[in-house]
Amino acid sequence: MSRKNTIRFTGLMLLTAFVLIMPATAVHATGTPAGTSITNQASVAYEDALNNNYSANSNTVTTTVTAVYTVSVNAPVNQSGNSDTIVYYAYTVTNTGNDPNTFALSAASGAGGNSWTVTLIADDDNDGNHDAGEVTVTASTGSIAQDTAYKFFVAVTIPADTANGQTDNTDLTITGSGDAGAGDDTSDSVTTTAQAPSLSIVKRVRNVTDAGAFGTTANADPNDTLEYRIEVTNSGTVGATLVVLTDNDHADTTYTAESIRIGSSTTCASNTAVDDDNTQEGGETCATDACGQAKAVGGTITAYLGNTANETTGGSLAVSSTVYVCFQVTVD
Amino acid sequence: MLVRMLVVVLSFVFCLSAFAANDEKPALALKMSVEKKFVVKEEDGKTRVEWRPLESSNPGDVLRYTITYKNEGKAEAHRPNIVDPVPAGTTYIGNTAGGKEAEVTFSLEGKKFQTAPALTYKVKQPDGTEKEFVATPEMYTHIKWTLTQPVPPGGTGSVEFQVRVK
Repeated sequence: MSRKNTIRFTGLMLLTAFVLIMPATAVHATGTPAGTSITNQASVAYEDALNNNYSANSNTVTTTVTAVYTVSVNAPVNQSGNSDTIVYYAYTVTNTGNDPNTFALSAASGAGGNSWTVTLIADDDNDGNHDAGEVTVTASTGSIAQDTAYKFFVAVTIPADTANGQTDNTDLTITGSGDAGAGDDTSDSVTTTAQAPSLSIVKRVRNVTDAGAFGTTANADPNDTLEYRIEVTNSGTVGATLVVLTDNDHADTTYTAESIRIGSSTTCASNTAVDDDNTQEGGETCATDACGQAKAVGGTITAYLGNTANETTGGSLAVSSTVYVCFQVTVD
Repeated sequence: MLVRMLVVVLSFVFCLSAFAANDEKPALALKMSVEKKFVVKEEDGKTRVEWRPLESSNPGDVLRYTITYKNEGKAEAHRPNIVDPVPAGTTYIGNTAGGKEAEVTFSLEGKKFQTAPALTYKVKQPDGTEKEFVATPEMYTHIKWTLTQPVPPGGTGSVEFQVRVK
């Protein structure tokens, strides 16, 4: 955000090429209105040697205040928001000049980011908070008197399914109609960041028959038992909901019935054994993030993970939560 | 006849003395002028202040008013007090009022004049008591210059002060 003062170039510029001349001006927020006459007249009282009194007045000097067009705008802090939501930036434009002025408002997605939709919304009740009923699109402050503010919102729509951490820059431009120069123009920029869950999946395997350790590969002979461990972590900035894990990669193996264990431990035996039938029995609902319900149907493992998960619906994984899903197969 | 002549002579002498008395009056004349402050930036980056006549001003401009006095009479002007209200739409800039052989005092209403440090005002507190504060230059409404020496016939001088346009 910047505010520029008016610079007046005088005739002396022509004579002295390298001399920049400007009035010793410090524009005040409350300026004397344009057109005001500033008059001044002094008086004197005196005496003669006999103490007789006399008085006189000076001439009157009159100065007319000319119009100065300036503007200020606040600089709201950057915000984050969930995908498929609208983030509202509250702006206040103040006419800091000394004459009424009208400011055109525009905003657009800036360079270097995405191209999310930007809309300018009037702050109908001037409270600086966006209310549900405030939907009036605006493109101008209308004529506002000096030292008067106009409030509005820059509304940035974060598209649905935007990945966590994606950003977009929004450039706001305010252009005054008071003068042809830039003295009553200003701008501001904000950066909006998308918040979304970001689930990572790490699958490991070990040969149980050989008492092997988990790794990315394992050697096995026919009839050996393998154990798979799938680590699911929410590394995003908001919680994930309806989390369901599906694993159908079981060529040349046969699932070992009732071998599914889900919990918070990297050691599968420490996790909770899960009923793997396809029936929702009473009480099979998770109360923590590191929990899950599952079923094994036709060689496909389906795990409903997270808090509140049951055998038909996925639960929620808070930010940084991790849950482990283990199951065993026999090599054909 | 003698009496009539005496009356005529006395009347003539009286008139002469009356004219002489008028001629010996002081007559101070004031002339006001105003200039605007400009900051001139030189090629070498240094700045200097320049005052120029003005016809208009902008909010924030600094103006300098100069009041020139001259005794156009035939007698000394004693104890001259020059008073100037701070113009409406401006505020006085502290430590800018001055003049040769002039004592400067200020007022917050145009009647009671005091030196700057002694100029105070009172604010009523929530508990009903009054608290005294030293007035700031922006609060001054009038400036007075009291010349410490009589102004002789033909004598001249000037006083000045600066304001900022609100």
